Amino acid sequence: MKTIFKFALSFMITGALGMGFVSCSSDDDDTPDFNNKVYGQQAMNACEDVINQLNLAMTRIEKSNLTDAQKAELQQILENNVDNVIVPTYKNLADAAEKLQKSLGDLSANEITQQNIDNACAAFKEARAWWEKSEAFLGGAASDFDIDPGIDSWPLNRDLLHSYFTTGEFSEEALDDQSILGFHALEFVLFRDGKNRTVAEFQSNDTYKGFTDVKGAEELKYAEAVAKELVLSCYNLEVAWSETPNAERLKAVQDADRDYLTKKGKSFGWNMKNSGSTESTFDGLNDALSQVLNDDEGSAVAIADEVGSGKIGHPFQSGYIFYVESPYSYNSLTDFQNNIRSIENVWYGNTNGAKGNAKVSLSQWFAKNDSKTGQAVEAAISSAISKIGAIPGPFVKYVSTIWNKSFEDDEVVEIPE
Amino acid sequence: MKETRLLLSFLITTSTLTFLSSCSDDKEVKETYNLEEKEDAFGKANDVFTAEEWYPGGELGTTTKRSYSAPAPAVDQLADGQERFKHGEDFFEHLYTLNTEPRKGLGPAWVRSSCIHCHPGYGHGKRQEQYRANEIGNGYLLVIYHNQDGPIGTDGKPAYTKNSYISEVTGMPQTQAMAPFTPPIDENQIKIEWKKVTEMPSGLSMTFADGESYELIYPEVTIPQTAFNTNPKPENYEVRLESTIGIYGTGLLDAITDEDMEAQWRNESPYVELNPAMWDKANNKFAASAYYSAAYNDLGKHRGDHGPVKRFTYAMTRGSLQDGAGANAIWNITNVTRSDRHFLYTTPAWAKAQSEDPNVIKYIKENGASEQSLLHPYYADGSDAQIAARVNELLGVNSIAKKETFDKHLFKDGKEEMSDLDYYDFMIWHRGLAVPAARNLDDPQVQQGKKLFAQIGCTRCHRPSWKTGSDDYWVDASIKAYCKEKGLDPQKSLPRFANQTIWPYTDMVQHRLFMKNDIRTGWCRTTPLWGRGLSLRLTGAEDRLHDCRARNEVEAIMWHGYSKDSDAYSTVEAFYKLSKAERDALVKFLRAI
Repeated sequence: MKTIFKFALSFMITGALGMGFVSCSSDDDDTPDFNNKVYGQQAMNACEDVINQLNLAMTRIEKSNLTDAQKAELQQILENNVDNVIVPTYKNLADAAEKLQKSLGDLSANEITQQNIDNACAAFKEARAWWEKSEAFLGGAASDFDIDPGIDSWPLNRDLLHSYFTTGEFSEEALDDQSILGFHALEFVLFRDGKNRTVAEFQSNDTYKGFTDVKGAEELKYAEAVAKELVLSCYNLEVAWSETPNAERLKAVQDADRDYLTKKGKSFGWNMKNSGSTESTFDGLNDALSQVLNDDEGSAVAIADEVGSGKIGHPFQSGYIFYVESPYSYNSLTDFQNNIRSIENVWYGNTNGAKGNAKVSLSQWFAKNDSKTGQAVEAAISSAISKIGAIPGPFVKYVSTIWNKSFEDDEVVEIPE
Repeated sequence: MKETRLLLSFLITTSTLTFLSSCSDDKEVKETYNLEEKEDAFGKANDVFTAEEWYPGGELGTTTKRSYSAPAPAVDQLADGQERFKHGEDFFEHLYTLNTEPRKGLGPAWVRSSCIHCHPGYGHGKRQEQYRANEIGNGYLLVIYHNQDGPIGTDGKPAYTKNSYISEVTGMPQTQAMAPFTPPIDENQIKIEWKKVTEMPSGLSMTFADGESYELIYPEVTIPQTAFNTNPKPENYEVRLESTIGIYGTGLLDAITDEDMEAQWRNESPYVELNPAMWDKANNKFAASAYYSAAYNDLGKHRGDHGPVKRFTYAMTRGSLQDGAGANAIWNITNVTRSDRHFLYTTPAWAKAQSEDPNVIKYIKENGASEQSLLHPYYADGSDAQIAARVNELLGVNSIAKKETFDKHLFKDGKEEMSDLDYYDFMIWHRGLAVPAARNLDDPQVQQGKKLFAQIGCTRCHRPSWKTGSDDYWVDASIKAYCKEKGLDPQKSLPRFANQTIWPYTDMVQHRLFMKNDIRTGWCRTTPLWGRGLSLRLTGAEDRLHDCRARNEVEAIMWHGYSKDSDAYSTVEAFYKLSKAERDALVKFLRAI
């Protein structure tokens, strides 16, 4: 496919501009150039390159007459992907979500300390990082059981949330509506303008537009309920992928009457490891690998596309500023980088990306069988992480500056022709 | 989602090749290449399948990915089609909010807060044990209709007729509403019971001759009168469930000509009874009521003196895709208005009940004074009487005839809830969704299945192939307005699928199966079979038939033979007589197309 960009940009890296691109974090920039469109464009192009290289890698596998040894190693890679990428990522996510929940506990606004809040905010960012690092494998439990929307729906449906506060009835029904659940509900309560909220704020009324009649104490109570629900969703993911799930977490999922097995009664880990079996949803090795690498939904390619054309592209390229995710915690660029790191983890077969030392991985398979394609994938991943990091942060400020629009719910101003 | 078409050239080798290459820093690196190109069966004709059949959506409507969500190649024929498609996709995939960009305008009452709720993984709805609007995967619409004629009025006519939808709630009933309104139906009182069939009235055994058995279940749905927050409350009604089906390929079905559809109906007319609402048997042509029109658009003149023939939904209620199930749903399921829909999806009976609810009045009085409040339009002068009157008036703005009232009170700051641009992108996405390519057509078992499918008569209704026409689609007012503003030709600004040979496996005709707790009226459009074999893989479930009563292909087939009166009975009888290996082959074929 060809992507047509509306910006007439030169993609030649000039000496002057190129200097900043090696920096992996815009926080290091003394004077970030918020008006420079090249940063956003290069990040989008880098995501596009990740997509193209991963597609090429999958095509190499599909169009080749693989030897038994090559197939056996790919089978090991699938098994490793479950045991050493997906399950540990979800375990880390659940651990961090637990930490967040325990930091808040059920403390009232008068009992909670700043340390509790700061711990919760730190745990939020840790959980958020693991969630973003899981988005290369949203195929399976996260989508089949629609856990994803309960964890990560955005934007936050603020008016609905507000009505729950004003009616004084955030009930079980409130906790069924994904538009006021998950990370973004917690983010709204815990952060503002990129900073942790304070005890004083929870002991008085909110100051956010439209929420000035809402007590911070009520928001805190809500956050505690949402955190419990988030923990359960994270358990759900971990349990669904584990062939031998943690007993305590399994019980919590079962007690909540949540689905966690495929329609054939298998774990999602087993399902991926046993492609080709009549009990698996995958009809063979290549089918399972395409879910890992380049399926339209829930794969490494899918998240690269989401980051490039959606998370970055909608606000940056099209001027839909309100598409910026994580605007309250200023965590957007970190989120995007972690999305690409989820691809990196899948490629290198561990939870520490290129720095890891997995015995079997797609990286190693391609190094042995088609090193040029493998290296191109690895260069693309590395470049995408770096180019996203080079965007001046916070992202919401960058796109607001580019489009000269604030983040408030403004009307879409179309791109000048 | 994108599809990158890469032309690869493979080095054929049986041993590892290593060679030196220069990279940007002029360091020599060793390259390894150890792959051998494979002969690919995909896209090639064989003894049973043509090369075309690998591409069920034709050249312009098929994706080679196993996907329900991919853009068709037709999208690439539009300038910035991919970008538009991706933006349009966003409105389908994510939740709507009451008033927060980028997807706002939900309410005052709604069926669901997103499309994906009912179309999990872009596919068929999933079977549910209870009805919950917030359960993603619940693709059920409640179908609440009268089970008898109503009392005769002074005009000598019944107040309502048997099989007609109750009028107290909307045709697609809502179980959600924004505070302080109570939803038209309290979903906590809806009961879904799944019952087992103990024997088939047709006489077919529930065990095949080889000893393999099958089980059939069906839902019984009840909603007590107390669940209705309306005035009046409905009487003499029954409830059925209708699930969503996949949405991919609907642009291709839109491109089948009315004339070709009419020829199909005419061909079938001597052999089966056809729905008189669609088919004029005496004159051997479509009935006047088979052509689509709607009061709020000019679609009724699209074909000269009539609109396009109805073709979408089980009941074949809609013509053009631009006013089809999806174009309508993005408005009526969410109650998100747009420039050509300045009215709500509500009923007077609900509006009246809300205006009589003291809790509603009290809450609006306390929370609606500020102009910033979503409830401000209902506040009037702040008195109980005026709030009640305004609630009744505004919640009842449910037709184009009441547009002036909508514009006066509910159209804020000249801003649409869904802009023309957003709707245009949404329709590019909707029309542009590709059909997934067929799989395993080189498998002898699949090939045997195809032969059996035809031999036992399945193809009489599940017609394998059509050729689309010139696809001169109708365009709605919203897209026309956008195109006019941008200087675009609306006839060339949406994905088009002209002259495509497609393989949907439907005759586009309604048939009757006479199932237990059958679909309302009994008439049901033959469901396309393309892509259905990927359902478990792509959505995690594979429930079939209009209310998800069938849990696999065999159950779906056997439901076709529940009654001897079924249009498909003789075919199912033949299926019943097949050997286990033959039944498996037929199922494998269904999973491949």
